[in-house]
Amino acid sequence: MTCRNFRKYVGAFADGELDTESNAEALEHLNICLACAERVTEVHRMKEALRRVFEPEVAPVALGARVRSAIRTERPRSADSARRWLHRLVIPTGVAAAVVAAVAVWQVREPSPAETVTVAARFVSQVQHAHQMCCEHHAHHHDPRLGRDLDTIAERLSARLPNIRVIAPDLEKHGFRFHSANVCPMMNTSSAHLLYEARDGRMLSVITMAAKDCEGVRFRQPCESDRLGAFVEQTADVTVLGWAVGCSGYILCGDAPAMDLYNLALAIRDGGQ
Amino acid sequence: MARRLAATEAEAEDLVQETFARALRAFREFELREFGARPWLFKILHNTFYTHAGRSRRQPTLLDDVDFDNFAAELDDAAADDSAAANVDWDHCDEELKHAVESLQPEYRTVLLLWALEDLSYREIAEVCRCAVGTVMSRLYRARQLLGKKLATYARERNLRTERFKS
Repeated sequence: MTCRNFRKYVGAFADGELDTESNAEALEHLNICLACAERVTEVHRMKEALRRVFEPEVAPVALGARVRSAIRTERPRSADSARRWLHRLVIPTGVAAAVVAAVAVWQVREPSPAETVTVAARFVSQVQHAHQMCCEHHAHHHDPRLGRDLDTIAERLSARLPNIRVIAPDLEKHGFRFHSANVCPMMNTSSAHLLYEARDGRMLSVITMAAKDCEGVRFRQPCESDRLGAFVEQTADVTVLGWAVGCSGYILCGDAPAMDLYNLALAIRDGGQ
Repeated sequence: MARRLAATEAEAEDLVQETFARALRAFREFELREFGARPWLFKILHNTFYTHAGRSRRQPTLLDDVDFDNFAAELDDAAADDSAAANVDWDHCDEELKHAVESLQPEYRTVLLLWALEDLSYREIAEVCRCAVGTVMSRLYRARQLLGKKLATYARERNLRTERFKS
């Protein structure tokens, strides 16, 4: 990819809207072009500035009552209409109430490991969706220039990924052997996709994200996310688990034992960064 | 979003009320697809805004409203020059940025705000604006370019004023 080409797609790249192949090409170009990397930063900075300048406005209190009142005046009167209303209002309200209750229960009760995994899996799915991440180990994701030695990789990536040294020992402590580094298509340049081998030989992907990216997608509180629930997991045989530590997200995905991942997440949580 | 589209607070409130009323009337047609209800509500809001009395003529009809692939193919080096944005100090241009956004054509402004403030994906924005994803990309590209240029101009003028003040 040339600079001229990259300039046309810089926004789509920064927003994680490129397809896997184009994204890989863009990442390759960014490895050698500081000017284009700066262009990506400019897009993020513009977005941040817009968010700062146009802070969300709080709707006037009276507006809610006004809208409710307007809706009430629309209420149909015939029996058939009443039935329609039952479908329109009662059922969605019931669903909404159930969701609120579920969230409330989730918040006040200590979740069981299985529940935690489910919630975390949805969280990761949401993040994956937002970032157009992959969870498969395509051949072109592996960057041979990064080598397979963790120290070398850490050196190469430390500027972009300062927590790489933190997460790697945690994984090794739990029996995951470092396998290789991959470039995983994401919305930004500060990401890497590390591949670990689990005890039983199955592969585990570890995707880490920088704090600034976590802020960008607003996923610190999964239940507050607008995107939560909008993503359907694509494969049933993939175990996914995520854990938020401060404002950094640790995303682990791949075909690995759920309990190992759960224990690992607890270790990351309790051990801090 | 209503507040950004409408000229006054009262107009924004009317817009919100009308949006919910329309959503209620159209609820049977609503299908919960992968994006959820949010883009659907934005779409109603967007349509309500543009079809409101006196606004129908302002429905998106940009001359350059082309698919991104065609748009990208037409870009020459001069058009693709995005160096203006690189000169902007994004941390100290809040007022200028506000004015620059408000001075954008509504079609660009809508796409830009849905992208930056509402964090919608290109597909979701396309759904709201009833246009192709490529069109969203081309509008976003142009909107970002225009913003960069406007702010670079503001910055130059401010520097000139400062220089004059110093002398």
